Amino acid sequence: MLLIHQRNLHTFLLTLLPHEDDVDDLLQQVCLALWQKKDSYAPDRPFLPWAYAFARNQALKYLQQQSRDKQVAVFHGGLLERLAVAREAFDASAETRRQALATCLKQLRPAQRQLLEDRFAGTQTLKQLAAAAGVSAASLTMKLQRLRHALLKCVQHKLAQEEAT
Amino acid sequence: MSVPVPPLTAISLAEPDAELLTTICRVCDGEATRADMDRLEQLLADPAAVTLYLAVRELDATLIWKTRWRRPWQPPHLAAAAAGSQSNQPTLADRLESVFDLVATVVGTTLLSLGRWLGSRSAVALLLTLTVGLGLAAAWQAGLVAEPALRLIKTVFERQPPRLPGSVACVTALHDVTWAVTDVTAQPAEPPTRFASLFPGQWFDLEAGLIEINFDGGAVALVEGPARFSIAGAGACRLEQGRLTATLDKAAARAAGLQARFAVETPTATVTDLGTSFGVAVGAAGETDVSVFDGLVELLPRSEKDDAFKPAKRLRLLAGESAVVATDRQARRQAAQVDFIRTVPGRTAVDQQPPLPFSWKPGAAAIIVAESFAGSGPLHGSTPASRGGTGTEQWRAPRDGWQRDPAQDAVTVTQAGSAFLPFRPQRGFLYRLSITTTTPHNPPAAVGLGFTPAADPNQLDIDFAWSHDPSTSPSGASAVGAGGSVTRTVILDTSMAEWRLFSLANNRLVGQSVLPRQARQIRYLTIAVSANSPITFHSLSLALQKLDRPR
Repeated sequence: MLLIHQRNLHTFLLTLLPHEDDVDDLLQQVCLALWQKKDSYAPDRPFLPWAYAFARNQALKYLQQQSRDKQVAVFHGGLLERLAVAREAFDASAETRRQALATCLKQLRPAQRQLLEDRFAGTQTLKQLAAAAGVSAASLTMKLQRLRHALLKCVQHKLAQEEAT
Repeated sequence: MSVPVPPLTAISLAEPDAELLTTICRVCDGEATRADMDRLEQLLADPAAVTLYLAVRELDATLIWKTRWRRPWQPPHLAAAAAGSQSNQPTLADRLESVFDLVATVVGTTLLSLGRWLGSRSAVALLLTLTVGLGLAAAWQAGLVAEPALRLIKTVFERQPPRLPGSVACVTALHDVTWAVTDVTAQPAEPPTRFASLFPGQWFDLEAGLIEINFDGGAVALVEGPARFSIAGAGACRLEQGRLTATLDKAAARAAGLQARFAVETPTATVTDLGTSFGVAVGAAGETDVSVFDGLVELLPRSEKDDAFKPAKRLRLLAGESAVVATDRQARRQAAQVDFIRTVPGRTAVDQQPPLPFSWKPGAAAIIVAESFAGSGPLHGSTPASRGGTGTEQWRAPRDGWQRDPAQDAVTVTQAGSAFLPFRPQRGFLYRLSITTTTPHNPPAAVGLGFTPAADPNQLDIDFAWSHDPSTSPSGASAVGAGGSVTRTVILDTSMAEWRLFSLANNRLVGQSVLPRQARQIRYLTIAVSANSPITFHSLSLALQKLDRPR
């Protein structure tokens, strides 16, 4: 069950903690903890809400630790709670959006796809990518922002089309 | 506590450089200052802004999941089982990462099938969402994606996972590989899969097939089974017995900052590659045959007395030349004696695909049911993992003798009968149903796997499938497991006018048939056990994919 829902948990945590590397660490921790607590899970209840509640607490703990340890930009606890609730509700329609996104990704030009791949592969920082491409980090961020905007527009359009039919 | 956020369709996306999106993107790209975070918190007071934020993060998460070779977390007992295969001391994270390739086979699915994390809600939803998540790949399979997109998908799915610290080589292809059962302790606990990291000192005993290894020194070696060999370093391997060919493009390797050296040690000699491609064959007594296809190779026999090299006896071989070092440790030129296999046949078919009339591409499959049999109590009435939480479909099984074992995430069956799960196939797909069974006792229980129109837990006849064991006749219902662990698979092909069914055991095709028209009435998938000797089921999965066969 845990193995199946890891992707949902990943999206959930990424919403609460903007830093991707934090999320990778925390996802491991959460999965391990959920596994250890598996006896307290009642199989007749939905798995995800249980897992999300747990992940939210872990994220809160992580944040407290982080903000103590170093000066990192993180959301404060109240917002985090609110985002957690919103994300869980947003989850219900996630599959349709992912489906639309898959179609939209196909419409990108190869260079745009390459940029997304480079950005999200996690092997280079944004600064390294920008340096490699000979542009400033700010202009790369702007490029990514436009791409995200275009993709979201496209997803929105596809969803509206689907609703219409 | 909070205002519900509107759906994505209800918000205005405005301009691409609006402040809200800029701030969100700066935060998401790790470029945010404290001031940006504060500003975002203010902006997120608006529910529509929250929707945009959620949508951006979901987009990012999807891309991260697609792009990175994501290692799913694995339960500790599975992780620990494979962690022993690493000879150095990687960190916990490294360990977790390293074992997933190995564990993937245990779980019975493949790393490539990101689809299993889709957590899709029902078979119907899945049919509608062929292109979700894994969608690009599925669409590729369906021939819906144009060539440039195809390249991207290939890069994404063919991407090598990160190499582990301390490793010196990496498996790049496997072809029809069978590993010998040996007592060699330096052999990894699990056989290496494609892209597995290899470490100095690891031994491999290849019974049959081909394995291609990329060494960090720049050489590519292709070992042909039967062979016993070990990894000696980034530029060296030891071949105890068997055949290998190696290719080293010295200029390219140097340009890439690699060592550009490769040596093969055998019991009687050392063959050093000086920028070339060559073949080495080691016979049962250790005699070493060397053939040079291209470039230059140095052959250095060892002394029989003290195993030291004998530089005076060295031979340099040019392209087209061949030599042998026999058991007397003398190097002699000879006419080429050995036919080497120099390429992996059909490089794409490396994942030990069964010889089916179509190719099942794990990366393009969407998972319908992924049942880990977690939890305890009777199987009857439990909900499969992938449908858990949202589905209402439950296992129907005998009330006694079909118990879930929480210690090993499995179902132990001690009483004959059948278990059923609702499933209704649609036209135009391949459905692949797979389960791993273990029969610890002799005589082993007979196990069947397949599809049926009616669910009767006491009924043992499966109408439309049997998974046969290769050790028995492929016809009839004598699908008796031979003991040990067997992965049984049936593939239902509904893409043609006549539906077909293929049975596989451990990925080998053992039977196929054309189904009668009544097969359209299939409403359940089923597992049947016809003997009372205990049998254990692990990790059942049912996946579908669109077939790229021209109609």
